[in-house]
Amino acid sequence: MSNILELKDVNVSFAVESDRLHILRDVSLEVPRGSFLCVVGESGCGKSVTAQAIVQLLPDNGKVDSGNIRYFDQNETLEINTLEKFGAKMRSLRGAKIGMIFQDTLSSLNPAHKVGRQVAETLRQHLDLSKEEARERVIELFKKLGIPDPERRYDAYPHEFSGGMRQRVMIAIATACEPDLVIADEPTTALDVTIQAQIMTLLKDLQKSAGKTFLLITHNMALVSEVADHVAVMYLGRIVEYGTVEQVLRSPKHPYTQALLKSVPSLAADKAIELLTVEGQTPSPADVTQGCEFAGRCAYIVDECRQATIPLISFENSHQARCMRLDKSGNLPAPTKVGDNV
Amino acid sequence: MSESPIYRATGIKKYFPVTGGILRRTIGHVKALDGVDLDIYRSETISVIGESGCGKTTLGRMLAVLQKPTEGELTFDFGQELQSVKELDREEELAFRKKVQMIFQDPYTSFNPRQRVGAAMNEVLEVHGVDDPEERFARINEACEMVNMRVEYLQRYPHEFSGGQRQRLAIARCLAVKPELIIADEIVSALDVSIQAQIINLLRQIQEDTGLSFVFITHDVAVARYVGHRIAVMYLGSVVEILPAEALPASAEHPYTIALLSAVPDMNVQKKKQIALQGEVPSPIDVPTGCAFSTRCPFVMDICRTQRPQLRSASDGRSDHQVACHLETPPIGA
Amino acid sequence: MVGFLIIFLVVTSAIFAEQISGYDPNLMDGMSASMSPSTDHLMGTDQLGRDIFSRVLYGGRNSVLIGVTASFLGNLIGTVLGAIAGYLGGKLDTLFIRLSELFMTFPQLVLVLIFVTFLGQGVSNVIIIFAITGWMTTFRLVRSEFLSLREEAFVEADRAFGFSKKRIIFRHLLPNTMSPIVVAFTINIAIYIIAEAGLSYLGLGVPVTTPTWGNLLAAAQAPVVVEQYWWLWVFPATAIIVFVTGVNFIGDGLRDVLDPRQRTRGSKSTFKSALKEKLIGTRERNS
Repeated sequence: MSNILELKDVNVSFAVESDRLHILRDVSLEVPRGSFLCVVGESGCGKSVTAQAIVQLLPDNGKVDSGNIRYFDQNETLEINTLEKFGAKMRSLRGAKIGMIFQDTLSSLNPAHKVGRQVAETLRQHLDLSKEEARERVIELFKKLGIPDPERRYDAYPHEFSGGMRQRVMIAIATACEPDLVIADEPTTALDVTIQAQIMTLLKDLQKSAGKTFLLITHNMALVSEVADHVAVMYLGRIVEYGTVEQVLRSPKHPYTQALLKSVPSLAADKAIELLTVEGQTPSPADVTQGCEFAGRCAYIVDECRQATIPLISFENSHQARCMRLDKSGNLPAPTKVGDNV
Repeated sequence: MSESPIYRATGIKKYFPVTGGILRRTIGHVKALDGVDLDIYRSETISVIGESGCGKTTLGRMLAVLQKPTEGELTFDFGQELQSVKELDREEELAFRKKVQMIFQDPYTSFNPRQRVGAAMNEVLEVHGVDDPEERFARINEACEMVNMRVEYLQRYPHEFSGGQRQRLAIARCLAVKPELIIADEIVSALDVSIQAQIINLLRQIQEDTGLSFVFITHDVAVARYVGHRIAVMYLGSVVEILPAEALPASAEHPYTIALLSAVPDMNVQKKKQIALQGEVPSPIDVPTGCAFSTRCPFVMDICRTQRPQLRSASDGRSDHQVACHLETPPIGA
Repeated sequence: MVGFLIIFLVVTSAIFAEQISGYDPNLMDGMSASMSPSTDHLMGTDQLGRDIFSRVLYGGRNSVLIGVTASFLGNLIGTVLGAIAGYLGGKLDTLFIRLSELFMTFPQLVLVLIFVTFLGQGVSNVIIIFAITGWMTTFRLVRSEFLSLREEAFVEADRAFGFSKKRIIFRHLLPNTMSPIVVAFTINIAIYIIAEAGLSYLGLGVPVTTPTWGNLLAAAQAPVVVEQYWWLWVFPATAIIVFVTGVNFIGDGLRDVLDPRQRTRGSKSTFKSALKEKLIGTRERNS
């Protein structure tokens, strides 16, 4: 299975006041074609920034300091980070080859334009279609995505839709030109759970039937367990664990992944057992400049953890974890700290 | 439950008029709550779950008497017997608010940004008649201990704390008053998963230690099950099922509850998708006649469209399990 | 800091005007008419032989008095009405709004004319008139702040704790609206000083004999004066500019000091921290 996207040692920093904050740290990813990758983490871990870096939509104060982002098109390989941000090549990538779905549909859709037109716009920008042809395609798309009464809805405005319907419109825009890669940044976080289920079914369908590759950014581990093929767990700008969903969720290796999984309440768990919590909160990127980012909160910490950058270690079947306390078979020793929960 | 409830809501309706036309006549109503009955007992946590538009937040505000219901009765046990709290004069209101407190969803705006948090907590105690500054200090101290907050931090302003810390402060602020019931409206929804876990554990601990009652409003079913002893499921302004937390997910009976559970992603539950709901929730302006869920229910019968089902005992025979459905046996076996 | 210095200077010189200048500002010494600045007369004399320096000083006293008092009074009226209207809403709100609209439909000049006819000229009259005709802007400002703040979660929390309306309005909402109020206050001072000048030029405000900066400027309007007798207008104009700038600095400083969010970073001088303690009135626990 070849890869459609590869990130290698990507570092991104943001200029904040007079400092530069190191937001993404040596991020490397390989995304096989047709797979569903979830990038998971809590707020501040850099998952959204990763998505932004891939399509070169970092905010003005952000910069890719080093590393490569390669997109493997059918015929050519594009080094995204070398392309001009708003140049022709990049613009032809966005929308046509790489589609993006955002979380906040109200502000991502132009409230003054009819919805149909916004989808058609993408089509006419990248493919050379006439107004009527574009309109036909959009209505087809609406039908496929489950938007009822598509002919009439073509002329509706964003605020006339419910949240779930708007998200379908966003998916329409993102997939209209049939991109091979779709990046979705927390697309269902603001939606009800039953609507979320509908949207996720839709996305998985697109993956299976059209062979699209998905990169889903989320903080919801439970969601990941249901839709992902592969999982990358991020903490403070670094990927701390990577593997198939089975590997990462059933046998997590990194202490942070383990703690995260144990702190999510589950319908099947024994209620009487308290949830595991991680002491403290995520530090600011400015405060951690060397050693393991998770060291301050880890129960297995030893002095070496704070000294050098911990490398990503591979275990069987490409399951990777960034922790130096793991032994050859990927097990952690006894905890060195017994923390309390606050 | 043979004991009497500490707080009882009967037939609560909250309609918001919708005006339109040139003459601004009332052309319809948003039926946020359409007849809710709920009993809350001492020393229990009842979780109220539902999706957007179900009315759970409005119910919270009714219970906290921040707004008056359009119809229905709210009675609270002040010690002797249940007393109506719908209309209160200033003195009664203060007495009520001492016993019933509320915590809000957004930790970033529920504190006055210009007031130090310690001063805020102090003020609440002053308003509630704790005149002795020593005692105020003692109570605040105690409350902070319960939420694991260092007292020195109280000199700071709200913006100096993280979201999780602010929620803990909000909890402490309520605890200092020594209430009997706390209404928590989506208090963990805006927090990271690991912080959410901290707060959940905290609430469980507090509940055990103090014997307070909680009404925990949330959209997250798994959290609701963890925090609550009983769960009330709401849909479009009414309660469709009340069941003990352990009965979730296996013994849910109402088709909506089952659908909700089917849709919730979960790492550990091996699911065969039982009910996949199509379509969207109808607008609360246009609540369907009969059962509110009739337009989407896969098991709808004729009677469902004309007659509103009332809460009745569930088929599993448990006294604390009630469901509002015309189906006589649950549609999908446990 | 700079703002404070300026204001301090101006205010003290205004208060101690008599001591500083040697001259009675109204003394007309025909002999020394229209003299450019000299050691005798630091800022020169005008056509009637009056010492400009003393006139600027006395004028400062009057102008500052008018500007600050009128602004303060107008702000007070506007704030109180705005707070009540914004928080309580309903019929009271509608009443106040209509009232403010009523006042606003008349051009200020017409209103002032009407009031002057009734009240006559004079410094205190001008102050009252300005306050009566100028409260509307602050009113609208405070009212809209209150309308939006009313929906904030901490206000709901206050209500859930059983706080009285009075407490909510004065202890919680008002401090959060201080920022626009302070800004309005400082802007209005400048506006009123200049407005007074215009009025005095029309013979409506303060009588010509009472010096104010505006008055002095008005008297120095003829082109020949502007060219040849520059000291007649340069000094009053500079005084106005300096004072207004000082007030603005203070306004900025006060605004920052009052907003706790600005305070966590950086070093403020001890003077400012003392000021802020006084202004915020923290209830420190005696532990």
